[in-house]
Amino acid sequence: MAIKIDEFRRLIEIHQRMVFSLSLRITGDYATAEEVAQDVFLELHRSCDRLAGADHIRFWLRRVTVHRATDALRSKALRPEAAAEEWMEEKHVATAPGNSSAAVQARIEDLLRAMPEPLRIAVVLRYQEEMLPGEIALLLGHPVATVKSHLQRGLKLLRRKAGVTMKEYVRESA
Amino acid sequence: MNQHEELNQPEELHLVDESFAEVEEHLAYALRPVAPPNGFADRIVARAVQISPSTRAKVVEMTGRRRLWTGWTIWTSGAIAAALLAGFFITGQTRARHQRQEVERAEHQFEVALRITDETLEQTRQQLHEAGVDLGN
Repeated sequence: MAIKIDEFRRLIEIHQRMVFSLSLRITGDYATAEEVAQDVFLELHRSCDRLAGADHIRFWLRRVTVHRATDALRSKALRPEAAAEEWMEEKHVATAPGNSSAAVQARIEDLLRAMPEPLRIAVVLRYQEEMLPGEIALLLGHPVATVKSHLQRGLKLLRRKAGVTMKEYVRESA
Repeated sequence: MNQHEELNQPEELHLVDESFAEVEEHLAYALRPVAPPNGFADRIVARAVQISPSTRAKVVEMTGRRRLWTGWTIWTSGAIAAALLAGFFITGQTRARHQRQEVERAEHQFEVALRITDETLEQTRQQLHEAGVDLGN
């Protein structure tokens, strides 16, 4: 039997930022992210009686969100990493000169969207959800070594690209 | 060491060397959770209500009606099939009875004809005998 609507709304309010943000950063598309997040919560509504406790619900939501977002990415042929040629470019235009922290944030999100899917998922779970590699491995069903490798490769790619980008921001802001 | 203890190992926190610290710092800042669009929770609740127990009850009711309809259809089909079979059976029986009666009638006619022929022959033999013609038996 599904939970009561009031209780369900409370769960949505607690977890909506996490679910939506995960979905957004994996799919890279705002509308798809909302659609995925809604579907995840509706699935929670149907499955809630099988989940025991807040930690279990959080773990379940993270796992289902990652899977559904990945499915959406593939089924809708959303390929943020198709912009991976950006990794080969050496110059980027700052989107908001004069507002460096917002510009850096936007640039990092752009770079993240262009990152290959497995690396992106690992990085998002690590730095958005502040999960440890072992927790990410448990969530994704991958070996811990694989998760660590994805994180290291992701960070190296970001540092290489962001290093160039940050210099460009500084130059243009000056 | 169980998996939970393993996850809490301090070395897990140090994924990469210090040179990544700046990137990690930027990432942690850039990847803060963002708020979903306005009315997000309301839209989900509205969708959940559409498939709430009352809606399910209606679906069950409709399913029940469909079952009734299906049951009625099965019974009707069965009755029609039984009536057709009975019709075929009765027609077959009637036809067989008619055939039997015709055979009996033909046999009766044959017997009558045979008897008439015998009587005619007997009369003829009698007349010939009276006329002095001996046929031998």
